Amino acid sequence: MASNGFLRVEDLVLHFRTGVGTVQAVDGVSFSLERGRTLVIIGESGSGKSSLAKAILRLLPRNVQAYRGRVILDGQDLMTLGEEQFRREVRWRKMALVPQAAQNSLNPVLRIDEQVCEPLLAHQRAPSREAAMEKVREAFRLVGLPVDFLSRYPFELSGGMRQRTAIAMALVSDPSLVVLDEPTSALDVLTQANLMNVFKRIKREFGTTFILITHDIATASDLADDVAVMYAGQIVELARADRFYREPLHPYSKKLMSSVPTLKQEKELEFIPGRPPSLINPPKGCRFADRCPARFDRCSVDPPPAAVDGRQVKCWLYH
Amino acid sequence: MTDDVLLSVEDLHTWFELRRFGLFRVGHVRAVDGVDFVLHRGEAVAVVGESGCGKSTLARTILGLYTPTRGRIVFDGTPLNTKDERAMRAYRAQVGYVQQDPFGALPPFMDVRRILDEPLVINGIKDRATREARIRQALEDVRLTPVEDFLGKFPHQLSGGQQQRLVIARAIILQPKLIVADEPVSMLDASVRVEILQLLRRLQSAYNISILYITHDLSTVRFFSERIFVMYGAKIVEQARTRDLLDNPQHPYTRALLNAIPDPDPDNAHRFREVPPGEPPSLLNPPAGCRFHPRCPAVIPGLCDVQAPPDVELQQAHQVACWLHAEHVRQESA
Repeated sequence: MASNGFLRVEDLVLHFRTGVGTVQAVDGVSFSLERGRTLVIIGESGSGKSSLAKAILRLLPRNVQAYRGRVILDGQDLMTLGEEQFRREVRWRKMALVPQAAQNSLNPVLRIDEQVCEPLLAHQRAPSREAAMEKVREAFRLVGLPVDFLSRYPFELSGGMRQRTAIAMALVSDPSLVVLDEPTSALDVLTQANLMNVFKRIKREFGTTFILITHDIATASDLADDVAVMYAGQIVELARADRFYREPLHPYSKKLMSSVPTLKQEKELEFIPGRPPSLINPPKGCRFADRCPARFDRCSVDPPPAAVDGRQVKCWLYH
Repeated sequence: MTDDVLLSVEDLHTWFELRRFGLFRVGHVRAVDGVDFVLHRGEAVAVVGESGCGKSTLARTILGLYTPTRGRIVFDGTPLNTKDERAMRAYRAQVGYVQQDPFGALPPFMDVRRILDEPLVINGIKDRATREARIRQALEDVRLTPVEDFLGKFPHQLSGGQQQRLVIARAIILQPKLIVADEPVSMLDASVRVEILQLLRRLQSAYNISILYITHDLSTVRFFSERIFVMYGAKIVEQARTRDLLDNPQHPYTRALLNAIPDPDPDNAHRFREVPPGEPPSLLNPPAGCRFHPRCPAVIPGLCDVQAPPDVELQQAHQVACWLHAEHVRQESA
């Protein structure tokens, strides 16, 4: 993995204060991503993956207990920027987010064209309304939506179309990095496949860098150049997609891969017994230890990442 | 052969009337529009289709929650009469329901024991000791053990997977002959899905329960059903044994569906997936003729857009509704 990435995240930490304790949602995450590549962050619920997206885009709630680390985009450490500067220069300009269930986040009382041009007007990315509208039409063409839908309201569109609208909204300001949080999870197979084709086309035409966050390993393979597996607030494996899919190394990654039903190959399906640990007071040693079939006595200490075969695996088995 | 048929659905139609301002009849949403199939004892069948194809309405009509507009449902030899309250209650005691949202299916103010007790009490099992024993058995069956640990818990204290197990326990506690499972695992994490589906499989085999498994996720059906029905636009377009459908799909829609499902393969990132253009049809104003024709790569103009195709029986219990296989029928009647 190149250490001079387009995006470099170093020791990113995001903890939330709650009534029952501190949720250590993102607990020292580091990775690097080259321009034009897609990093897929695979994790199940409770792994902290959505919090990671928010941490990168600095979309923080009020109850933040700790937020530190480095997020270096194109050579600039975003964590050193003030709120106003971040909002003006970075969010919806250099980086954009398509949040989870984005199709439900559209404003029901505004026409589609009003909503999609909002990021441009709010962040002064277009000299005039007419110029903004032209960019909106372009974004619609990119995602494969007919431009006559611009004058409609969200309720007139199907779930798949609304999701494409949300994606158009993220793309309209030409960001160089787009974070997609479960972009297709509530959608049907054919709509999912369609959207993946849209992302592939955007990758090819514009060289956009994507971070795709999902629990769906199979759909992730449609876009993945690099894969990071997240468990209990930490990245346990980081590898190039072709190596990861052919042979995952971390015990959790292996179990995850074998729990995915496949149409085309015969396999024995497995599941992972137990539950992920709470992010409040996570275990002191390796966080996967109590569910791990390969657990041994060293695992009572949290392993640092080991470099194996050009990838990183956070597991004592590889030290 | 008819002896082991548990459920027979005959020319089933479920239509919903659409009225504007509560007064003017605008039309009907034809959610189930001519469905025929049989389900055998102890058999698991998957009904697969995208959202809006009518599969959930089909499930709810079979559960007795909707009255069919036309056609009938025959369960264990007796046709269902939705007007007969007593008969419907007796019927519902024999059909368990597992739905998509486990948390939404469970009353938050009742603990596990009460949740499982309720169906027994409603169905007239007066003896407390019997009820207690059946509650324990149900919890053991779904592996929510040790039983003592779970009896006093409330739904919010359980994980998603445990909640769904509880829903399944409730569904089997009256020893039903049929379980209707509508997207039972789509809201659960990937690694938990297999657990739940294997549980249903085990129960099917242990108690000879038939399962009607409704889903849009074709990748799981290979492991958990004997036959698959593919639904599109409120109709079943193909029916076959699981192996046959997956190895040898005949309907263009089925082929498109199978093609769209990714296996975890890194080469996927380097090629585009072929997907039929357009959207699923409106059930209020479905297209004329075959409902898939506007998106079909093999459409025969003048035929597919005019006349709905008949069901053609191919070999080995494989049925498809497509003019590509029925040209001989048309020519014979011409």
